[in-house]
Amino acid sequence: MKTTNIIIALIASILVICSNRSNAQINNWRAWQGEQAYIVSLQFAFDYGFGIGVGYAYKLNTVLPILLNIDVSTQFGEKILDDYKIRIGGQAELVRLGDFSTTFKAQGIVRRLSNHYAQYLNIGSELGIIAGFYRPTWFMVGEFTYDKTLFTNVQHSETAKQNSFHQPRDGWYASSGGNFLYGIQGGYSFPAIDVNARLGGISTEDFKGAPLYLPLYGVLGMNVRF
Amino acid sequence: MTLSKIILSLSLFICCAVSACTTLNPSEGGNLVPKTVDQDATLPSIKVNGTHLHAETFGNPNNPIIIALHGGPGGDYRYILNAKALANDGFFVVFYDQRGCGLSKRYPRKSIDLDNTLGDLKGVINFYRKSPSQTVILLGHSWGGMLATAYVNQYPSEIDGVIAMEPGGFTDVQVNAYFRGATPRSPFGEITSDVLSQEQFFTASESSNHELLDYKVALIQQMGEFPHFRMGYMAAQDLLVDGTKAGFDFTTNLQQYKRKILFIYSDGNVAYPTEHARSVSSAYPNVLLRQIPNSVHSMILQNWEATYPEVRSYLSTFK
Repeated sequence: MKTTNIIIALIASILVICSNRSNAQINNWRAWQGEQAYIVSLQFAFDYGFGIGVGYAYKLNTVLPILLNIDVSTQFGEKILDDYKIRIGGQAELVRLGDFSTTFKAQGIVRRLSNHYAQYLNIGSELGIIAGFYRPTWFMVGEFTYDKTLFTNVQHSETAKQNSFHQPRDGWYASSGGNFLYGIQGGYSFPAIDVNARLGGISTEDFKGAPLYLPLYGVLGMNVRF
Repeated sequence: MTLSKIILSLSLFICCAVSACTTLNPSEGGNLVPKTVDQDATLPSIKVNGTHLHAETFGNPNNPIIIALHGGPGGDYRYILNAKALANDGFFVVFYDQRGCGLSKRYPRKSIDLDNTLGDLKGVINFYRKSPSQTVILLGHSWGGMLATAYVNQYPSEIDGVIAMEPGGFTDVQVNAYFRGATPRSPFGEITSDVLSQEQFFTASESSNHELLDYKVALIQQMGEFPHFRMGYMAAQDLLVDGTKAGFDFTTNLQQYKRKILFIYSDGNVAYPTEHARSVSSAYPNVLLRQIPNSVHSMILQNWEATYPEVRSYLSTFK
């Protein structure tokens, strides 16, 4: 058990070091029942565009409640799966005072975007704090997340290169910064199912402005616990 | 446990591999976007009206002058370079990237307005005009046609001819009607996804540097499919967004302009029906209205073969 905790801490540290922005598993800590240890989830999200995602999570049987998760999402459009995002990470319930709880989450992100101009592959991370009230049948919490791009590989299309006066350079680009996401999440829990939602705004990391277009995010989701 | 080790190893590998590579700076000119004239002295440029503009000319400087005005606001002149063929017809053709656009010098947000943009155009004309009797014709595509009209509205005696290629409108009401006529993008479509998704790869707000903003707006405007130098995000915001919000009317003095102008529009732009072309062009008292067959809004690039004869025919009256 001690070794497991060390590894988890190391993974979390790596994710922190690598760290940019997230849509982690929405979880009601108080709704877990009996032998339940897994979640599969389905999400319809507005997360830098409209898309759909599926997730899987495993709850470790530790003193400090920890949930490891992976989720994969793709955006709507004529081309399916040309844009996607994979998040791997976890969340741990650090503080519990009655119904009030504080959770720390850390995720590594791999995301890809392909359009007429270029293909982008980004490695990023997402760190966040979730705090609020959890009851067995509902929860309502606030969340604050830092989503940082770390490195982005850019491969411009031949068309873009031909039409550009100066050929844009391909390769790995350093981070241009990150975004803060702030909002609320809540949900209603049945014995084996949660229906949940997230809603919030996005600010750039310098707090001087917002992303250029629609600085909002929102998620409607459903978890099945088993 | 095995899964944890795999994740740990993979994370370490990715971090080490990427760190070992030389990373490029997205905010540095010359990487994602080219440098501007104040950063690269090898680019052809002129200094007028207190600014530094990317500019090129074609033809004999003693011939009648055609000042080519690109669209946008925020575009550049690379896509209208077909018009340099007019140099072979006996004209001196001048191209320049407007303030804050293309490879011209950049300015912070809220620094570019119609007054200094018109001042730049006046400066460009004065820079190249050798004598007061030298003919000057403005050729403007889209926003360029609007700018040409704004200039004629302000200085009607200085301009001998105008070619306006599908300008959105000469008043904010007309421009808004034009935008409303455009086919809306589906929120679930590929283009919408591409526009919104790119925000998470190179994060930027209006306080970010020009290189990032100009690159991002090129993605959004689908500029990969058009020859271009470099988009100007701030110019687009200042002139289009703020200008339209504030309202404008470039027609208040146009009735004073008695010379014939050429107004051309495409047959393939659903947002620009003949009624709109008639309505917009009617602000000029003497208009030659022509529709270009098999063309779209970017007709000067997309179907220059059909556009050129109309332009040449109109210009023949100036020789």
